[in-house]
Amino acid sequence: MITQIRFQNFKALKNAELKLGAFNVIVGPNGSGKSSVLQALNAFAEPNTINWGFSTTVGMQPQTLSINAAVKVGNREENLKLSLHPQYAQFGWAVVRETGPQRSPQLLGHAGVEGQEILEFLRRIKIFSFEAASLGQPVNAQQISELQRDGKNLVGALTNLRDKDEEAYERLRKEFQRWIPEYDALVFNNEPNGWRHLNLRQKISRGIIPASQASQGTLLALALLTIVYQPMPPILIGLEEPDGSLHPRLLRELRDALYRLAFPSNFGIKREPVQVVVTTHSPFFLDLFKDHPEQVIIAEKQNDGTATFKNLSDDKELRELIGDAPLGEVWYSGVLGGVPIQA
Amino acid sequence: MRVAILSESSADESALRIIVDAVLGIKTFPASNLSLRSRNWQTVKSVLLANANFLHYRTDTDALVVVVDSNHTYVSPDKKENRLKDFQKLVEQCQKQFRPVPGREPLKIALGVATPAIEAWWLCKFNPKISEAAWEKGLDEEREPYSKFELKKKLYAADYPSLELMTQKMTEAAQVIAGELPTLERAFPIGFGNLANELRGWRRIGYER
Repeated sequence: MITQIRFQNFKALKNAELKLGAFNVIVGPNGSGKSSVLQALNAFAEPNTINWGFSTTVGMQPQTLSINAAVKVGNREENLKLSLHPQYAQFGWAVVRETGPQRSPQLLGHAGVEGQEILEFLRRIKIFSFEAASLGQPVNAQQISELQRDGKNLVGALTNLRDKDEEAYERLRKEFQRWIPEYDALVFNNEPNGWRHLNLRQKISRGIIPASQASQGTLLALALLTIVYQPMPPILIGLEEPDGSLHPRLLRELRDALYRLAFPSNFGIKREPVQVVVTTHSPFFLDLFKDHPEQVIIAEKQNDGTATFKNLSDDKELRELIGDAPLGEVWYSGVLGGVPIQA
Repeated sequence: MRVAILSESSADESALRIIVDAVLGIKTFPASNLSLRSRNWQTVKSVLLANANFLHYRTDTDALVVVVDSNHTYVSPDKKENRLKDFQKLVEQCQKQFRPVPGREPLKIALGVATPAIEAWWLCKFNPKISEAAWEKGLDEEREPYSKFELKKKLYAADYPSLELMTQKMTEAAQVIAGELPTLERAFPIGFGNLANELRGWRRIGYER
């Protein structure tokens, strides 16, 4: 599990620290660093994709991203501090292990079997920021099996699940039907040239709708369930505004599905927990976390344009101050912070 | 008889339908083509008037059942911070402003307040310490005899109960308590008693649709 991220001159995050738990919902105004958190996590999985963004302090101040993570190395779990520095970019996998038996920082790519194990752990961080146009696209069945960051290959990920774990696929199908009852079946079409298309069958008319013509919310629901039902889920999942195009009545179902990832034993599921990091702008979604302030992180934009984070549970008087009021409404009202700065 | 139910979640509504049917002694039906939903007592409060108007003027619904949690407020009539009284005023306001609609009786509204949460209603049969009196005594003494979280944990046996699990457990528990309504009414004579009395009032009027 990743317990902390430290940002130094990474986009709007000049000098910020974020503590993470098993389940994390980040709220805050636009430009407050919510997406940067997901980009930073993704950078540890794919360091070659990192974009440090423009910083006026470059040259004077170092740029660094660090995480504290509990990682299984060999048979033991180690608490590691891992960093990304732009100056090591030339080495490809430029993740640096700052803690461990050696005294000086060590490039993980050069750190033998242990380094490879840690890199493997980091590669299992998956960040998703779905785009409707990508979700509905056909794929070449031979090429890829995993759901991509923007939602490409939804059809591939679904057929992969169907072929590898029929029972999980069946549960996904039933839950999708519960979320979006207008459709009663997923239909896959294979073209002779290897392209695979996803279609949805309408429950009443039995009409077949190509995924490319289905609503954004429908495809988003299907993609979210595809993540949830993966037989070998990632160690961490980051989701950018998964509530974006879902009906507010489905937000409870969304939270339940994500809780199944993070707290599998609570649902009688035997597998490792998946750490979940979600960003949202929805007061309705935030309402669902009132009983768990430890899962809520407020991203704050400061007057000088920089951003910081605070965990809601750090405020020990919060429960008393909020009383019966819905958490989302309290956040919207501004008293918790994490709202746009007044012009 | 068509009865719409407005409460704090869809799980509450499924269970409340069982209790409403048990008190009325008939099988009720939901409002046609309408599924009311709210998220917490504040939203129930803010949509109640609009929902009641809609049901009265635009649907063939005979009645509306409203149930909210009391949380840290009272239901006893002598107490100032009183959720039952607040909602009773609102219901009265709704009913006063209904204009006659040809061919139908005015929408009836029955109100219940669960102390401190609806889970207490489903658990009182198994634990006599769970009651309106125990909760209000605790409020007087500025302590909680049990927390909402404990009630939920007891009923759902999970830290993070899904809506599906909540619906299943609540409806199972409601089916049990529906056969022992006097127990429920003894434990919650005001919050549930008010609902039961109003429902029994409808029964006297006689709805057999």
